[in-house]
Amino acid sequence: MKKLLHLFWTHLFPLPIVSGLEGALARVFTAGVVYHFLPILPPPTVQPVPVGMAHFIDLTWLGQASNFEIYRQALIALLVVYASGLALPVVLPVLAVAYIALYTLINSQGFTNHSHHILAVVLFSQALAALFYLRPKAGSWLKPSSGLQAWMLVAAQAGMASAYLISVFSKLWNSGFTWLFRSHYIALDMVKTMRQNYFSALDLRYATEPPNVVWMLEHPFWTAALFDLGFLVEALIVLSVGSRKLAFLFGVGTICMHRSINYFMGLEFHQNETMLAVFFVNVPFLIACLLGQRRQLSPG
Amino acid sequence: MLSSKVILLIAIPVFCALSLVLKENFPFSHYPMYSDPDPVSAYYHLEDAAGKALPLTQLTGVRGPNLGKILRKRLSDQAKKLDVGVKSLPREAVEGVARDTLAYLRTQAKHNKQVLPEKLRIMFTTIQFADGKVEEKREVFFTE
Repeated sequence: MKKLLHLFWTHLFPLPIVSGLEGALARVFTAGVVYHFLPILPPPTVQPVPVGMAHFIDLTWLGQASNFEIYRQALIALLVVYASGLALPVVLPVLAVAYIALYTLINSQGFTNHSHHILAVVLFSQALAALFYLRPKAGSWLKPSSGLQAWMLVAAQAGMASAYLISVFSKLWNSGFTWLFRSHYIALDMVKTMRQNYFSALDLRYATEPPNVVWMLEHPFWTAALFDLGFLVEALIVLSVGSRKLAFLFGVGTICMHRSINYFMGLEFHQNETMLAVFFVNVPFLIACLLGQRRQLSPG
Repeated sequence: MLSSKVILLIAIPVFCALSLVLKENFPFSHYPMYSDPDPVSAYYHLEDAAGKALPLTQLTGVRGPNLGKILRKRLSDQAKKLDVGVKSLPREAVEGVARDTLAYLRTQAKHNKQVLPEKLRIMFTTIQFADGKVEEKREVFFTE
């Protein structure tokens, strides 16, 4: 047992070696995903139920069409600089705050859209890593050191894994620790989600019943076992932070979980899936390996 | 210098704890979706006075699931204000919340350069599984 604990501790949260190419690809992919999902139309000009920084700052000016267009262009410029890797200890915190401000206004309408949380968490975690790494000997401000690149990967993984872990805590707490035994009732929520999707745009694709819903409700044990598998992946993904192999396995597993939710409920998790592909499946690392660019840099 | 292990062992629990305490304060969230599976599920949708369903997102930019989120949040805030449970809210308080929500939807429709019908109603549907079938029961939640 002692040996097992020692082994667990030794392999917990290692700091991986990140090559310049992998770091650059991860930034380019992240910037691309953030850009892709930026709203084109201005957000509302009201904040009836302020959340986060909207409690202290009036963000409604962002909803004015002319202001929003300038703000959007500024965000895009920040994304370009972030992707280039220039002055990350300055650019990343500014980008994170600017991104969070925009989605704070969008989420201050009396309901929460959770689609963008994962991107905000990635930028926020990486900004903290960049600020944490702001030390005189850490290398030039203009070019990210190998150490900062390793920390940006681990920070993004830790932020994302925390989000999944929080969801696990909420499931346990809100259900009075009975979630694992009642998870088969999510099949009814699948019907609800389909109906809500239908009434969003009267889209006939969602006018039917989700696949296998009656079977699921007639077989609560197997249905709960299926949903509980997703719960397990969410709970354990945190253990893969920093580990290339485990992160790959959990990244693929979590993407499969999101894909199956999409199949059954019609819910989309594009942001989560792309960020999992970048930081857990580690597509940038795999590309860098394929190109033979995995230099043995010591994280300094 | 602290090791990556120690930093993450501090940072992850702190971030989780903050998120659970701050709840829905972007970028923090306690991700409450599907956290309390229940034998009865429910949703809201919008209709005109004649009972014709309206495409909420096309008209207001607000997605279908968010109508329920808005109503539940406002009803819960109102219940807290009156120091009662949501189910014990007086009818006039519920109607006030529904009226404010429709006013908000009209503002959003205007922002989207759309116009909502003069008279609207909010429908409430419950879903449950009984006798080997998924049953949906629909009722008028509020009508203008």
